[in-house]
Amino acid sequence: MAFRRFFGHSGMHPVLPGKMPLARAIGTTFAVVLTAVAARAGAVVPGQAVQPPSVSEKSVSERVAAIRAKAAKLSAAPIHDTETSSIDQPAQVAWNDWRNE
Amino acid sequence: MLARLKLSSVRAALPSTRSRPGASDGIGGVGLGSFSPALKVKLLVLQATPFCNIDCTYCYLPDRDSAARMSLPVIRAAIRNIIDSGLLSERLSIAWHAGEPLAAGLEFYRQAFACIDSVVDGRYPVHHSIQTNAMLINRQWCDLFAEHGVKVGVSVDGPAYIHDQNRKTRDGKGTHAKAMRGVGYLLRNAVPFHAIAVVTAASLQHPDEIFEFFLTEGFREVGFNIDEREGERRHSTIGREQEHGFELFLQRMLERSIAADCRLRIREVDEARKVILRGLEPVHIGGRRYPHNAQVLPLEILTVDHAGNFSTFSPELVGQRRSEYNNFVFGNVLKDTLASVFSNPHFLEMYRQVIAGVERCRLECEYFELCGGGAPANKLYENGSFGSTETVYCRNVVKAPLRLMLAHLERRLLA
Repeated sequence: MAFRRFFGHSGMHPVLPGKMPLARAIGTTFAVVLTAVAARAGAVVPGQAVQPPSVSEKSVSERVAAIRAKAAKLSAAPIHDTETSSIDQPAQVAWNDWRNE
Repeated sequence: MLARLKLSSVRAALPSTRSRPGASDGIGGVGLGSFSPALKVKLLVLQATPFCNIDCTYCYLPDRDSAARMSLPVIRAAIRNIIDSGLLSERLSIAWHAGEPLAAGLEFYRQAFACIDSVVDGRYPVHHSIQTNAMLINRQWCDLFAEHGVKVGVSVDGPAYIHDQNRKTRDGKGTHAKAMRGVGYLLRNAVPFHAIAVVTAASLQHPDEIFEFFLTEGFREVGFNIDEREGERRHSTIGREQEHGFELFLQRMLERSIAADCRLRIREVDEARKVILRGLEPVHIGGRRYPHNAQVLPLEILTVDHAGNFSTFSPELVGQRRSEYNNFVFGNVLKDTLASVFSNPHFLEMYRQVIAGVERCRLECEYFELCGGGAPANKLYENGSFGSTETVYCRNVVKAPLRLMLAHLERRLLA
């Protein structure tokens, strides 16, 4: 989350003094590099275009059944997101929800 | 929004929409015993006052200038009525809602909470929640919330330049600063709270700014209500052309929530995940199975206005004007039992239409098992009939989050 401390509340613009061209240029370059790195790593970047969800040809009930079947098989071990090397919270919560049924 | 009736047969549970109230179509046989599991009041909505101290452009309430206030005898009668009818669940959940609840005053709630505690007499746990614009919150309110464990929902739409477009005083001034002052009191006094934000077409352009606002201002959960056509609100800024934008808005919220380690949770996607993974509890009405939907079950949500008039199904119907349904008033807690709704022709007609709408949803909607039949109030105000099916609410608040979460869970669990 330290990444976001460079940005204002809009989530878009580096918070740098407006009358310091060199610092601004450095800051902007730094932000662009960080953004590119983050995007490459799969992180959500403020202002990034949102991709619509994929369209499935299966029916809703088939998709739900497949998800529930897989959730039922999940072990208690934390599910790691291979893209960010962090625990995938939604999957973890999803699994916990299922386990606690 | 849960309640069940006793039907002597499936036919009785699913009355014909062509029948007239009171006609011998079987609906007259509906009673408390028609439902399995048994009908229980799961949520009591108390409208302490119809008055609101502000005048939002998208408000659907017709009486927000009225300074009427609920009396203690009405509160006492409402609680006793539920208990005496055998309709209380394992706990009493009370939501103070409609108008600005805090406008009823601090002393009102001190007396109301004491009154409720005296009637319940420790037999059931009591859970209070309140939905407020937060403008009146101060240290004393926080003390009261903490003392009674009140869950606080704050109505705030995002940063000031979005919030103040619609949430205005009667003389047209923005209310954001005062609302956030109240949020500051909640934070300083460690009172848990969440936000409910109304999304208009203008909001759709600012998902990142809205997310950042809630995250940085100390909110931990936000729910997004769409600007709806309902009651006094005759039009909405969310039309069909905005619906794809709303889905992208929600998807952005989901992405940002995950990226922020879920430090800000999004109600719609959380609920969608829960229902996909767990499903909805089955409810049998007259022997026929339905997925649970509190808004279509009689008495499960019981709404009582300041005068003691009670209604059920969608809570926002109370206070609205529709003569064919007696303005959605099915009795008064001061003189009528809750079970008396089953001999009330206005209720029976409404229930007939509601169930007809649920049946149409069953036939027409592939999300039915994950929804249970939509929201009656939206069906009425958008389609003109409780017996109708898809609404703007369905497409945006039910289907869009489910689509997003289905895709998300497939990526995470099935990839």
